[in-house]
Amino acid sequence: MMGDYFALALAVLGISSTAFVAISHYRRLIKRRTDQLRAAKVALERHYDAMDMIADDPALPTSALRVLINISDAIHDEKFMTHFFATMRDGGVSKNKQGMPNWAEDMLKLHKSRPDLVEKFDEALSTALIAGVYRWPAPAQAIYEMSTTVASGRRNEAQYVQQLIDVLRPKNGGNPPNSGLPAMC
Amino acid sequence: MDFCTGVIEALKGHPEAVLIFALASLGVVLFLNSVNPILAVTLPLGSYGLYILRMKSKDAHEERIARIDIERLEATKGTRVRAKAKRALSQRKNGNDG
Repeated sequence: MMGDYFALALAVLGISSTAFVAISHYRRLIKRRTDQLRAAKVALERHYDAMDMIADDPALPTSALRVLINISDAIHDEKFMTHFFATMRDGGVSKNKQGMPNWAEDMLKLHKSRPDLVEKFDEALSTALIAGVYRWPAPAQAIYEMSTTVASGRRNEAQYVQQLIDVLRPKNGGNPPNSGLPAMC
Repeated sequence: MDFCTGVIEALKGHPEAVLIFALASLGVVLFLNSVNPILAVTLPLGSYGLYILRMKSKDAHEERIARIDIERLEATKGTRVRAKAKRALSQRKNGNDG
């Protein structure tokens, strides 16, 4: 009789342990997602602060302002960000473009006269990228897979932003499928 | 360091581990005192099950709050700043036209 109880107790213990492991795994995933969302919020706040400070500065080149608006719009679109990071994970859209995009050259020229403006612009861009990564589940997952490529790659921030713009502006001139974004620069 | 000190050191700062340890100890004590084995196993496990389910709800709630915080930020500050930037861009376009 005692042996039956013992076997039943072991069975209950086994089933319960499996259930607890599954729930614990689910909790870890939720906690990680919460941390990502909190990081995205901090980045987004800094992005808006930086953008607010430079948006109406007449010294900011129009090309750079346009990039900033496009990036800021893009990071709110889950479908687009998922599409962008899937493209980047698969090797990017313009592998041969290693040079600096025009807007980045404009900002480089501005650096001598307005380093404060360039610094805020860089902050607005980098925080937008971070917010875009952690705001949505698929890019947040993709960045883990891409981290080695990002760390060892020779692309700089401007080239990543340009890649984003290239994805945003497909060859046919329209927007990516299912994207509600406005036409790109 | 003896065994007991090691266990106490390991449990410090981990409330969930303390709870599991306490419930497991309770199960062992019940078992050793010839209490019904099913009760000895299900009582601690049931208590931990209720605890973990409650924590799961709490975690899900925190995730929902974090998502709502971002949506609120986008709807208020985000909308205002982006509108400001777009206004600045359209003013430049109008300036170039005129």
